[in-house]
Amino acid sequence: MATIAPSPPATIDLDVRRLPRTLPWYIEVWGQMLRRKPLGTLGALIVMGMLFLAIFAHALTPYGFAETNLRERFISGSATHWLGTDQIGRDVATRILYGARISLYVGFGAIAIASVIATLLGIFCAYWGGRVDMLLQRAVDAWMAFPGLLILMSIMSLLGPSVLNITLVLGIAAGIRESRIIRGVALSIRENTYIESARAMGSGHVRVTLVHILPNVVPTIIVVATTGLSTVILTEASLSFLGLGVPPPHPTWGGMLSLGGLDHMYRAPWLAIWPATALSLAVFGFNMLGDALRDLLDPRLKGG
Amino acid sequence: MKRYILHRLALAVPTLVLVSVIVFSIMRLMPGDVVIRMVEGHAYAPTVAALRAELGLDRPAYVQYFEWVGGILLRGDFGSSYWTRQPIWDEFISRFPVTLGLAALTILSSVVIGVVVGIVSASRQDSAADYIGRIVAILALSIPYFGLAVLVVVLPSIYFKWTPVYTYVPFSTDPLQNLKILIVPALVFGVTRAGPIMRIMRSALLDILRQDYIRTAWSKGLPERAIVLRHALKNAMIPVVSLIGLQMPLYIGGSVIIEAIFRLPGVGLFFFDALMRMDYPVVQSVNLIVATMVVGLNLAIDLSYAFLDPRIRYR
Amino acid sequence: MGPRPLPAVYALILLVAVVLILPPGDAAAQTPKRGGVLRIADREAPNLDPHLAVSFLTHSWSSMVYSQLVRFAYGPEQKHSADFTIVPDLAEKWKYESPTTVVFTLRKGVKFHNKPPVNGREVTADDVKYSVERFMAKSGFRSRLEPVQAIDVVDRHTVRMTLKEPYAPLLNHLANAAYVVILPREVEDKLKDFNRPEAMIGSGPFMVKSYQKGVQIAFERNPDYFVKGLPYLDGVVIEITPDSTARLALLRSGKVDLGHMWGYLVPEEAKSLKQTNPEMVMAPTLTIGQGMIYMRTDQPPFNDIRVRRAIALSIDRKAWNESLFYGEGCTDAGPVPCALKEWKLDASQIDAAKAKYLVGYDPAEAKRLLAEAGHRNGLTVPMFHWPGYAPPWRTFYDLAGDNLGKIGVNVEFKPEEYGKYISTTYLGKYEKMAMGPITPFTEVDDWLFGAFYPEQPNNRSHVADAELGKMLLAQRREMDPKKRLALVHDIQRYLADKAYYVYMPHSPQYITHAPRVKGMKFHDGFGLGPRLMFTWLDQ
Repeated sequence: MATIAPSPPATIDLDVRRLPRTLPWYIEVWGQMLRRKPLGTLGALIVMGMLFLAIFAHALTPYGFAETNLRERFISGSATHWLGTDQIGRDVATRILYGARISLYVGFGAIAIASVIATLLGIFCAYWGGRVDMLLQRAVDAWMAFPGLLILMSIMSLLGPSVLNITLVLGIAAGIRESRIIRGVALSIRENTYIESARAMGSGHVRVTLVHILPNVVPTIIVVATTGLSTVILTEASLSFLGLGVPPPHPTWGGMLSLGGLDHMYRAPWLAIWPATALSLAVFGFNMLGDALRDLLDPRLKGG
Repeated sequence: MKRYILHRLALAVPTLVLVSVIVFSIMRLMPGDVVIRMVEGHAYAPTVAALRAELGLDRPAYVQYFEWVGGILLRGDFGSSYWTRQPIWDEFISRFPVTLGLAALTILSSVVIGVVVGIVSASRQDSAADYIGRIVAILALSIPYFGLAVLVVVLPSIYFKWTPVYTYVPFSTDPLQNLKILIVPALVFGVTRAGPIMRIMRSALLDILRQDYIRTAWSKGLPERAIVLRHALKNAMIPVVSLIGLQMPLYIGGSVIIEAIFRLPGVGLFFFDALMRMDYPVVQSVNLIVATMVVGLNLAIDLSYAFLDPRIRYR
Repeated sequence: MGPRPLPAVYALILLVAVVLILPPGDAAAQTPKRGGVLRIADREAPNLDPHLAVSFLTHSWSSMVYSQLVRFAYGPEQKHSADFTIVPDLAEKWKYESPTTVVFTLRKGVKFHNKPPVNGREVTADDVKYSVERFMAKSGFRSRLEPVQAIDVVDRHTVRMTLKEPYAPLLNHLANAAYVVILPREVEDKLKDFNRPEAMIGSGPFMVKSYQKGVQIAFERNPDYFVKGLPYLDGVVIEITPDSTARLALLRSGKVDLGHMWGYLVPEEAKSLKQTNPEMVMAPTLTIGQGMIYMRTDQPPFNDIRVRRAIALSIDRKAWNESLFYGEGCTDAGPVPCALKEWKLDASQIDAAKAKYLVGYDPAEAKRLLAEAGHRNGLTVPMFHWPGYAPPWRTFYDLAGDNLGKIGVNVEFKPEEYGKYISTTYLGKYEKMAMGPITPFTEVDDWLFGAFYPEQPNNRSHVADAELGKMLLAQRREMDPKKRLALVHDIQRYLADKAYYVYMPHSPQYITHAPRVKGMKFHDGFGLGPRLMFTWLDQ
């Protein structure tokens, strides 16, 4: 079967003139997306759901995230505590909701920083080449030779552990690492003949970069970013495991898993299961969404 | 090409100097005092002063720096730990094979899983196999590896009175036992690393399969397997190789948790303990040694780009 | 009717009946058996030189191999787990010639291990002098023997120690396995370095058999140990396992007999282990330890005793004990810890009006005190701490924050990284308030003088109380044990309502081991060697 022949372009047909005038376009889009990219749509729904829960956490739960209640410890699930309570009686559902805030803040923030850095650095190095590329890559080498732990510990000792510091450090570290991948892809693209012909026709460097290189790199950026998001959230989890994560009492999914969950795994498995589920759902949603976006935005698919 | 290599090697020197200065400074800038850390609640002034003198910490920073670097360049002496007073190089050499063995097996398992699933997913895009492959990859990605490690160690101990945690035996002493000890941690670590590889493989393959030279091969009537494996795969491996390359420090430093849980006397744990204890010489020297390896490895990877994609030239 | 049976026949019948009724050979199971190798899972000692680090891990390992002048009572000798009675080790007797001079007479014929370069020669007074002087020159603990002015060799088996002033804690410090162990000089001369396994040559019950760094240390029985018949074990192996979950997994799967050198398990882990491995032997034990909130009593707001008393009254110790420790912990943990039975004055024996600041819970009164002190609308304080201490400390910080919040004290958590914490906050350099556990000591002087006398590193609350200072010095110099005990009790009565520290309930440890391990009695000293010397395996 001809399975590697290019499949039909997965673009969305938004030409309003040709749409049957039954539903408004913004609803039609969903229908199209559901049909063409069911996983991606699912991912989008998950992401939007999480954002909603994170933003409105305080309105959705009567408990505070640090509210202890020693008489109601280790409840697995009840009418008043839908997801149960932890080792000092804090409501798990509440902590998951507030945890969404921090995990998503750290995740999005770090990835935004990382993507900008990775793209700028990667494309610049690949396009310019020569000495500049070599020097910058050596600096990147130097950076990457440092185990992340060292950098993180130092920054946090110097500046104090806080959500902002963790986001910055994770973002910068991820960005520099990811610039390697972007550079690799951009190098391949640079060698394409259409770049040469564009230059030969007199296009400036900036134009060539923006019009030819960047769009071809975007799919990789998206995949790398969505993969990186999960890495960032998981890194925060392992930092908590080592005692270097977002400090208490602020809940993060990673922290809940590492500290409460693994400590009491035999007696109260739900303390690990719920944050792990939330983590997995978030990672799943972002990655599916990223995949779908990548497929849709791939410029080589536009126009067949 | 030779000029390129020499050029790169020459540039490695300032890189490593930069690394040494940065790591030295970071350690001194971190708040906390290693001497007090050593005596904790018994920090009487005479005790502290005597210890500080013994460790050479009472001299100015730049003197300590040049002594450290000088020792390495002139005598091949990477210094001794403040805590054990034993030479760091000896300890590193005895621990490195452990981390290397773990890293090799981890990379092997993650690449095998990731590449296979990635190929299947890309060549059967948007089919059921693709969906399953992607979901599996995501699941593998979203499990924290230390959570999986703890599960793998704890659950069997509860239900089967058995646990995959052993007393380490070096490969040179007993290769089979050594593999038996390393395979479970390698799989645990590798499964979670397979996710990104699979996804990058899939994405890269999808890009390549749309390119002109593939269409040409297709129109020439070549079978699918030949097209994918012989023509497309090589180019698709570029980002995968990049990924593995940039993850190298992760395997060396990031294996801390795996080494701790599975009792593997590797470099990761050595480094982590030293960092926590503010054992400056160990942190500095291990970092420098690892940095040198990473720089070398990246050079090798860059050279491999030329092999995998002959269009990439180096000026 | 025939002739009556002889009395001998009656006696025979009686004898047979008695023998049949007696339970079979129970007494035999309690006689220690020789042989077997004990397996323990625990962390690695950072180094092997007993003087170079203050880690209890190093000192547990060194206590296997070295002897001391005197030691604490262990095994069948001990009355309870915090029995710090001084018994002879290398010194068979000692005598105070004056309040500042003490003479130790060493046993004759005690040999070092038969290993090069020492080769099994006799332990002499020279070795004692060498070791004490090395301790005082190199150890991080050298301050323990600060009042020692000189140590002299009188003859081959006699040593005299001269002090600057009378010093009651001397013998306790000499008996502590973490401080003065007796080393042979040849090791320093020939091997230069006590940090290597081949340098661990002492006169203790065990010898080092092999050391695989990061993996395992194996000890074997000292066949020439000066106490005949001991140790019972053929060897001890410590499987180096840095992660606590992995240690527990090894214990559950039977790969080790103890999941911790001293058998510690926190109550949560113990309860869970009991369900999966009901055969395990467990004993809840109150070990020596203490944790508290400490405050800058030399600055506002905590220089006001009313504010400190309010904090003391806001902690619901009873509820914490009942829910976290199943009621098995100790709610009266300071200033002298619960386990230090010989010295402790229970809160119940102190005037209730004062004792309530040690063990009471009265949030209403706390709020009233705060208002009286001018904080009617509450106050905000930072709380510096290290979040990485093992459970229950992770939850203690959260609980304390919650309890304090209920009386209007808003806590801002300031977690610190360990290196920073231990060099600054832990030694008293912090702002306003901090919280955490402290190193346990075996000598009551450390809990009192160490924690309350000005300029001491462990005086975290910056206490400067002249009257208290006099009492602290007096108990330190009092050589008569009965008089000293009276002084120590007076100090505890004095401190009860001062609230210089606010103590947290203390968790019991469940001392846990496999059923085949016998004769292992928990002891609060660091001596692993003396403990294991009386241990045997029932296989």
